[in-house]
Amino acid sequence: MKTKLIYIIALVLLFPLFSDAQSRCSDFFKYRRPEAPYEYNNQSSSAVCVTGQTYEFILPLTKGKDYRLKFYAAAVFNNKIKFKIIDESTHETVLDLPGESANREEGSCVLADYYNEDNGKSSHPYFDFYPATSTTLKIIIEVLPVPQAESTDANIKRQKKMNRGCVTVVVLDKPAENSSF
Amino acid sequence: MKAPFKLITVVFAFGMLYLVSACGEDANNNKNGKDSLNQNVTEINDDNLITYLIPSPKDMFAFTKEGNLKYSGEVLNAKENADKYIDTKSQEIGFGIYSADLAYTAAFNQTNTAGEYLKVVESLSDKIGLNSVFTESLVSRFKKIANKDSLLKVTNDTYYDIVKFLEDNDRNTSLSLISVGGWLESLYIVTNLQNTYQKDNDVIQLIADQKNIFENIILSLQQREADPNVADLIKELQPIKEVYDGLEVIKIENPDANNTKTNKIIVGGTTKIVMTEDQYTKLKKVIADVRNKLTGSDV
Repeated sequence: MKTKLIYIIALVLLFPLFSDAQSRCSDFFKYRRPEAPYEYNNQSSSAVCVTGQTYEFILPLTKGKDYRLKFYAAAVFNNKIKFKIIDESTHETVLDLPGESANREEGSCVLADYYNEDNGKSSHPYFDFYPATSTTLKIIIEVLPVPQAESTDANIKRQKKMNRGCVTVVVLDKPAENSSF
Repeated sequence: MKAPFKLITVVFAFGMLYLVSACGEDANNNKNGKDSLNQNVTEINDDNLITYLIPSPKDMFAFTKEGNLKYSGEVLNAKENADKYIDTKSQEIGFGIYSADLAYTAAFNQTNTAGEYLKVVESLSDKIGLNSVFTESLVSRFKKIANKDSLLKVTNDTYYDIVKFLEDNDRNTSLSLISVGGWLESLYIVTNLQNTYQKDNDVIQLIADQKNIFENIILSLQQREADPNVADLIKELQPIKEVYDGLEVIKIENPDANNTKTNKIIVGGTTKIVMTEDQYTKLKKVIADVRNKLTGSDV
């Protein structure tokens, strides 16, 4: 019985090690790779995020290049993330989509793969940006809070549940087709 | 009972190791405590909710090469200057500067010079704890380079590995200092190659457009301002900031603007950053002044 207890204590002590490993971003580096004709852009970034928090990535885009953005998030978030992109030069929202949509159609969500009719394969969503002049994009990533269980006992204050994991913004680029250079 | 106690001891040791690593941080960030938090806590620090992204030097040279600017070895930071960098700040900024020089030589297919600058970059990488990036296989890749594309590719891959390593090890301050060094040297090279001001010139416009990137650099540094090295650097960049702050952003008409389809989005096109000849001359001078001070070229 004592041995069993000791093993349980050991597991409890080790648990943070495993959960921390899951929320680190190194596992997401595999998504940061070129996709011809697009090259990898070093402005790609990853961040460890928690539910209920909003994050911003400020991305300058240069005229003369076309950009492709892709987003990935840890499974712990279950795609419950909202994405909004604002063009800072016009202050207009150019993208406002959930991580996952009910129909999972191309262009309807940011994280969930969709069926690509062109090649008959599952594809990860991407978004192409063509800067007519150099500009800056504000990428707003809202990691939605975890639904909290209601306590039936008013005297019991439940601990707020939060999940943490990595969110990655992959930036790719290629020379613009109509570049004046 | 002995075995379980052994297990507990091992688990305790791992737990302590975890706690120590959780409290640890790179040697450069631990001066203020604010920025020395690792991934366990950065996400709840309000200062870190915004990430300012900064392009790598190769982005600049990709344009200048196609913009018909000629290669000049005179604009490179002298290799001997690397010996002057004895503190972490100058070593990390210097690393960024030499990385830009390496990217520049690679973009213009200067294989021999690129090899020499690779050695300088490798030597500095050792001093700032990036030696694990410069593996035997990487150096061997450089030796086997056959054409300009692979030279540029290896250089880009190296920069990518460095960024990954720094991110993975929570060395955000190092990443900032290296990025500033790289950006500054890139701009120094381009402003020297583009010697004269020409209205409606693409390279001049590219230099003017760096206003957006420079703003990101300053905002990124301000997040880590409590670090004395970063605070110093912000002051040193002030003359550049004054010139960029003075550039006018004008509204323009663009029929393509806001022509947005499902996942193909046209952005910008309604504003343009304008730089006059006087502003270009001033910018060129302050860029050279700041760069020469940081590289030790003026001593």
